[in-house]
Amino acid sequence: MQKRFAIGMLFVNNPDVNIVKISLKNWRNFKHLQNVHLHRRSYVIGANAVGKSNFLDALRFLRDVAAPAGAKPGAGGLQEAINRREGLAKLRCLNAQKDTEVKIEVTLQNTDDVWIYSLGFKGEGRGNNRIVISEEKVTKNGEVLPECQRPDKQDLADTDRLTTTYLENPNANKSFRPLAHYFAAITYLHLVPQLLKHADELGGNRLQRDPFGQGFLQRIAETATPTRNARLNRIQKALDKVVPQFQELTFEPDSITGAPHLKAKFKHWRESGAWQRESQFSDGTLRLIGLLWSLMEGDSLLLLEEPELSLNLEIVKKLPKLIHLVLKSGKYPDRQVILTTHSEPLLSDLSVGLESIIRFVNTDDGTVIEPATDKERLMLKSGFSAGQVLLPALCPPGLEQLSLAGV
Amino acid sequence: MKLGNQIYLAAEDSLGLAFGRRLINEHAALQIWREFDGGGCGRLKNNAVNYNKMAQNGLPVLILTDLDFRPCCQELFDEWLGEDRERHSDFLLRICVREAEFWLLANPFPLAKLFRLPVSKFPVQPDSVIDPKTELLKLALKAPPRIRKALLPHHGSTAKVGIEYNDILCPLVASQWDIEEASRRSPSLKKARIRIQNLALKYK
Repeated sequence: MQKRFAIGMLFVNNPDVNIVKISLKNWRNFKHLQNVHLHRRSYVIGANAVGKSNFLDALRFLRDVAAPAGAKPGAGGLQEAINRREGLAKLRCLNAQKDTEVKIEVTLQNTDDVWIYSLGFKGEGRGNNRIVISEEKVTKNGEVLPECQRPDKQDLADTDRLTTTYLENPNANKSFRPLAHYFAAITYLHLVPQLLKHADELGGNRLQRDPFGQGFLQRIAETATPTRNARLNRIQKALDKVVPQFQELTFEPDSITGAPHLKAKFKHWRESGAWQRESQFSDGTLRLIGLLWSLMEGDSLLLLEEPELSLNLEIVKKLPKLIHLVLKSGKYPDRQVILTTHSEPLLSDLSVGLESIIRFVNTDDGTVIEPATDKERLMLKSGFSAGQVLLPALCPPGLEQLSLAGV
Repeated sequence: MKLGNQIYLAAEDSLGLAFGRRLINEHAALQIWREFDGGGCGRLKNNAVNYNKMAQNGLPVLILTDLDFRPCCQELFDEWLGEDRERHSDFLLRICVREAEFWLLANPFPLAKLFRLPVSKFPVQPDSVIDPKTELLKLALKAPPRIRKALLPHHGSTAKVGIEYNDILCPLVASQWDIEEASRRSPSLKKARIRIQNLALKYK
């Protein structure tokens, strides 16, 4: 036991951990998605409404299940994670017919171990139709951990136990606690600049885990001053290249209310420049600051939603490199990043390989992965970028004849 | 299914693609694998060397572009591929002399019907038209208001065409435009058809 714990701790502190595979069953758009390979950088592409964000949501769901319940009231746990998604009916794939179990299985790997965590759940089918676990299993290096192979004898004797996962329960997850920590630290960012700019008028109702960056300034405020200054310094250096008028970025709480604010100095006809607060920053600048901060904050998987939004095409082209450089200069150069995108320039970097792109297409049987075809591989071999090869194929049929009235 | 009978089609705009579809669909042996609307010639030109490599790798490519104001086709080939490069026989860089509208004017009946104008108002020798798009838009000025508003840009705009320009002309090319008739009056279209026929024979 002692040895396992020691390896476990290594796992937590080892930034080389990657989610290498994920399988989904009846999860939102995906009726059956088997063994999707994930890399250190994975790019999720697909037409609108195909399920790109829902794919990321499967990983956010694991985070919500594993998030420590004690940290904030109602922060974690299976039932809370499902409630937050408006119940099982909203979450289950519409194509699910006879087999209604929803299941997520992820394989994690670091230099020493391979772990597989699988979680299945469904309606109990009687009484209040409670949501109960149909399977929870942890495999380490090919062997199932006997302490987490559910439903077990105790579960069968007391079905109430099946309403919570072992993952969320510190009394039950000791042998695979590193997994719980890893999942709980997954970060998702889809910063909506307007929420940040108009935070005062919009009021303080914030979503759990702040996916849209409303509390971004608060997060900056809560960071230790030396770390905060170091990060802002690095962001300033990166922005210097991208927004030429940009001169200085600082953090400053409001002198009266104490509310946290970002302040930046822009070049101006006055020699001293012009100071502006975040509410006056451009959407693109704010999104870039949010992106750069998130890259520097945390060591677990980072999920980014369409990072190209509001950004100039030339900057979008350099995003893969920017992500690489920011991580490389930090503590966790191999941190895993999965992002969704519609942008061909973002995928025009020749260092983006076909294998790192997950292309979703819609079928009558839910969304599936469409791997690159032989012809697409030939195109790539002929000198085209992965974005040029794969993205045009996603154009919805009939868009060519976009017209609301016939001639 | 043979790889070679599936063609990558690229053009400067959706009108060009509409012509490309007609050219390829004439042959049962050929199929379009993928279409690409370059939104002007810049991206097509930048990718020309890659298209040539694609053809070398067994994926035939048909690019439809305009000669614009270059004196001859060879100059365009040299400019796109560089003088040292040899163009693969399956890389069909077909050039609508001047512009794609030229091929449309070569069979004026569908346009005349759309514009409600007599065919006699259309140029007799489309080859001699220097700027076929402007010519077409000039004719559209006399068309019924609904067509005119859709095809022409707003007064004073620097836009070349109206927002529904392609939506109106592409279906015309797809269904009413007579490729046989047009190729009799347009040497560049005739040449393009021969080249695509050769490709079809190769992959029959």
